[in-house]
Amino acid sequence: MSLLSIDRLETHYKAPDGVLRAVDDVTLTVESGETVGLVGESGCGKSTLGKTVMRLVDPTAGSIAFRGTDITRLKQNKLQDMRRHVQMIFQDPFASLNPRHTIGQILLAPLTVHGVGTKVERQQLVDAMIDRVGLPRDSLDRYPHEFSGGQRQRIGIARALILNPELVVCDEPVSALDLSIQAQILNLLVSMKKDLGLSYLFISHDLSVVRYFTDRVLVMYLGKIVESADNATLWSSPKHPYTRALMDAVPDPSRRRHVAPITGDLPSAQNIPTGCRFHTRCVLASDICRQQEPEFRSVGKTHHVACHHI
Amino acid sequence: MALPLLRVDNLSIRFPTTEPVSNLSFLVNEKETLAIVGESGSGKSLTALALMRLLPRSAKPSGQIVFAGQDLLKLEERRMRQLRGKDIGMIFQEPMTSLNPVLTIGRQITEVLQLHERLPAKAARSRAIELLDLVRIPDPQRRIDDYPHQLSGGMRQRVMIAIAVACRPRLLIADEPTTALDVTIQAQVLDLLDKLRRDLSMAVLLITHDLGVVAQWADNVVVMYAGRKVEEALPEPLFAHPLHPYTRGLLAASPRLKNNYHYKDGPLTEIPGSIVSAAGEKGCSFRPRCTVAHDSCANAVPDLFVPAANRLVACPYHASFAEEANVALVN
Amino acid sequence: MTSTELNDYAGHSGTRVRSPATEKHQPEPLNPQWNNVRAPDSRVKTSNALAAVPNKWRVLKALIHNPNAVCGLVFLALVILAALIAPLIYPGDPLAMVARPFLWPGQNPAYPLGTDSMGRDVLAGILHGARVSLFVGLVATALGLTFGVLVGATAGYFGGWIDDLLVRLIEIFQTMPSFVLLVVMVAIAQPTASTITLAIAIITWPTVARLARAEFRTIREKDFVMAARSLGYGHARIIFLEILPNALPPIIVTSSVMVAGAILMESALSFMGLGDPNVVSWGSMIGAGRELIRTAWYLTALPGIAIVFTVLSLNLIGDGLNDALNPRFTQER
Repeated sequence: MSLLSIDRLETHYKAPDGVLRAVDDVTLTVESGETVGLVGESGCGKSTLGKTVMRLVDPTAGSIAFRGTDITRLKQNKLQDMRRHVQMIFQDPFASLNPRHTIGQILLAPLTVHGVGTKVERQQLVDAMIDRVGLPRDSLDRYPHEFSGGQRQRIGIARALILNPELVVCDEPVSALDLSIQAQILNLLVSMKKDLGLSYLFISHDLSVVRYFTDRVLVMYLGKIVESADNATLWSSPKHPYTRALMDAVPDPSRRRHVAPITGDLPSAQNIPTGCRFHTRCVLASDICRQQEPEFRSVGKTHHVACHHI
Repeated sequence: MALPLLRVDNLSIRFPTTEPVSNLSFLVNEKETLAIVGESGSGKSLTALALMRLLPRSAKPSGQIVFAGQDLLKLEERRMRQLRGKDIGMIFQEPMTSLNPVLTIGRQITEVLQLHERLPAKAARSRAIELLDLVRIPDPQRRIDDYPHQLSGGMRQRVMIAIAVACRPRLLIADEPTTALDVTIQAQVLDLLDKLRRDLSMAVLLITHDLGVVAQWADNVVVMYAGRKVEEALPEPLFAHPLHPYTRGLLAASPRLKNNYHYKDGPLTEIPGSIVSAAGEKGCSFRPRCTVAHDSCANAVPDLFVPAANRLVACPYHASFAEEANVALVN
Repeated sequence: MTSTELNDYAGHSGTRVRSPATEKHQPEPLNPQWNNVRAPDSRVKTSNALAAVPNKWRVLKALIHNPNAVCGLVFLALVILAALIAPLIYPGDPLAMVARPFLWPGQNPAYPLGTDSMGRDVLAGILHGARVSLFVGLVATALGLTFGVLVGATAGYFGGWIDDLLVRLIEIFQTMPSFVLLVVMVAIAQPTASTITLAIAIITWPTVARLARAEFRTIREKDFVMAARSLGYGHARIIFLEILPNALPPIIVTSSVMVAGAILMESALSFMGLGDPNVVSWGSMIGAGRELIRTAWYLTALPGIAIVFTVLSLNLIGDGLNDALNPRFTQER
C-alpha cells in the first residue's frame, strides 16, 4: 500500500470570468521512504496540488488516500489524525512564521494541540528539535524577525517535523534562499529523511535541485502530469518535449549564448488549449496534438509520458 | 579592441552606520556584457542604483563613476536626468511593480520617447509598436493598448526592456532581470537581451545571483561578497578554476544538472553560516565562513592579486587553489 | 567544472557536513560582532520585520519620542487624575447649589472656576464630568471593540455565506444615520449613563467590524496561517492566537479615536438634553450654559475646553500609536 496515493485529482478555483483548472486530473503515488519531485513552471498547479494534499484547499474531484485511508472528503475536524502524519514546509521563510510568536511558542503549539506527552516531555521534544536543526537553545525565546532566511527555514523544518510525520510536502523549500544557504537546507532535509525515515513530496521549479534531491520525478504542465520517471532515467532520456525544453532552459556554461529552447508563455489555466495542452509551445506539434489529448502511457519500467510523438 | 564605456573607480557607498559597498572598481567595455554576481547583501543592487544616481538620500557614495568621459557622481541632477533613460537604461527585478498599473504599456513607452527624443505623438506610437516587435511581443498593434495586468510576467519584463532600450542607450543595467521568471521564460528574456546588445551595440551590466546565467551570458564576471569585489575573471576560467574560497564554495554548493550528483552519494558541500556585513568586520569579510582562513585574514582587507591575465582575486592564499586546479587538470 | 573536479574540490575542502550547531557557536568567540542571528542575508527584510513586530517597549519608546503623543498622554493622564480625585475633593453632589450664582472664575477663591446660573460649582462639575465622559468613552469603546472584532473576525476568517450574512448585518447598521439612531435609542430607553454607553457601542461596532474583517481576510491567506491549519489547530486558536495579534495594531489605533468619538457623542446627547439628568457631564454643562453665552460665556467655554483637549489628546495618542505600531506605513508616506 502506498503511503500517499492520489487518484484523478482535480482542484478548480472559481475565477471572476470562468473556472481556473489549477490541478486537472492528476494521479500519483508516494511510497514510504521515497522522495518524489514535482517540477513545473509557476502557474502549472504544483503548489495547489501540494495544498490540496494537505487539505488546505478542497479538491473538486478525485481522491487522496493516506495509508489507504481516504481523506478527500473528511471534515476539517476529522483531519487531526492525518495532520500528525502529513506536514508541510513552506517556500517563504519570512511569511510562514507568525511574527508575534517566539520560536518556542511556534514549536510547542503543535505538541500542545495534539496533546503529545506531558508538559516536561513536550519541552524536551522542542529542545531536542531545535538542537537537531542546528539552532542554539536561546533561539526559543526569540522572535522570527531576529533570524536570517536560512535560519527561519530551519525553524519551519523544525515545526513541520516536531509531530514526527511520515510524509512532508516541501513547497519550494529552498527557492527563496541564497545559493550559499540552499546547500545547508538541502543537507538538513536529507539527514532528517535518513534519521526519521521520512518521505517527501518535493515541489520545485529548480531542476538542478530536483536532480540532486529526488528519487522519482513528475513533470507538470498546466495542471497535468506530462512525464514521470525515476530520477536517473528522466535526466538521461527525457521524452516529453516540455521536459526537454525545461532542461535546455537551465543555464549551462557549456552552451554559451545559445537560442532560447521554447517560445511563448504558459497559457492561462482558465483557458487550457484543446488536445495536448502543450501544443501551443511545442516544436513537434501536429494536427493530432491540436485535436486529441494524448494519454499518459508507459514507455519504460518506471517511465510514463503523455505525448503523441513518442 | 574593446573600449571602456563605464569605469567605476573605488566606489564606496556609506550609510550612517554601515558601508554596504567598499572600494569597488570595474570596467564595462562597449558592446560587452559584464556580470556582477553575488548573493543578497553583497551590495550588487546598491551598486546599480549608484550608477543611476538613484540611491536613497541617506547614502553617501564616493569614488568615481566615469561614463563616456564624465563622472556621474559629479554631474548636476538636470544632466543626470537627461542621461537616465536615454544613454543608460535600466530594468528591474520585479516586472509586476515596475510598470505603472493605470497606464497602457503603449503610453509608458511613448512617454520615454517623447521626453528624450521629442518625438510627436504619432511617430512615438509607431516607434513603440516597432519596439514591442523588437522585444518579440506577438501582435504589437493590439498589445500596445493593453494594461500591465493583462500581460504575463515574461511579457511585462519584455515591455520593461522595450522602455529601457527605447532611446538606444549605450549601457543597459539589468538588475536581476529574470529572477522572478520561470526558467523557460528566463532563457527567452536573456536571449532577447543578448540579441538587443548585438543589434543596438550597447553594453550590458547584468546583475544577478545566478551563476548559471553568468556562465552562459557574460563576457566578464565580477564576484561580490559583502560589498567588496572578491574575484574577477572571464567566465570560462572562473568556472573551471575558481580561485577565491567564496566562489569555490558557491560552485561546490550548487547542485547541477550535468554532474549526476545525487543525495544518496552524499551531502552537498556547504558554506557554513550566512553573509555578514563588511561593516565592523576587520580583515577579509569572508573569513567567518571560510574553510581555509588563516589568522592573518583577520588583520586587513586582502589586496587584489593578479594570478593570471584578466584575473583578479582578493585572497592571498589563492596560489594553493591554483596548484590544486593544475593537479586536477593533469589528472 | 566537471563532476570529477567538483568531487576533487569537495575532497579538499572537506565534504563533511558541518554540524549546523557548531556554525552558530564556533565563530562567536573569534569575533563577537559576528552574530549569526540577524545575519544580513535578511537585512532588507529585517528592518521591515522589526517594524512588523513592535514589542511593548519599542512601542512605548516610539510614543515617548513623539512630542505630540506625549502631549496627548500628559493631558489624558490629567483627565484621568481629575476623574479619580473628583470624589475626594468634591465628595458632595456636583449638582448641589453651593454658592451665589454667576460667580466669575477667580472671583471667589473657594470656587476657582466660578458658579453657574444655579450656584453650582463649575470646577466640581468639570471634575465629575470627566468621570462620566471617560466612563462612557472607555466602556462604549470596549463594548464596540469586542463585538466588532468578534463579528469582523468571524466574517473575515470563515468567509463564504457566514461572511455574506455578517456583511449584510454590518451594512444595515452603516446605512442608518448613526447619530439619529443614537438619539432614537436613547429616547426610547431610559437616559442613564449605561444605556447611553450601550447605545454608543451599538452604533460604533460596525466600523471596527469592517476593519477587523479586512485585516482577517488578508492575514488568513498568509503562509503562517496555512501552517497553523496544516498543523491541525482549531479555529478558535487560529483566530485568537495566530491572526488576532497580527490584526490588532490598526484596531488599537482606531480605538483611541473611538474613545474620542464616544465622548463627543455623549456630550452632544447631553447638550440636547438627552443625557442622564442625574449626573453632571461636560455636554450637559454646555447645554445649561448655552442660553447665557452672552453674559456668562465661561459656563460654555470651560467644559468646552475640557472636551476639546480630551478629544484632541486622544487623537494625538491615536496618531502616535499609528506611527509606533505601523512604522512601515509611516515610512512609506
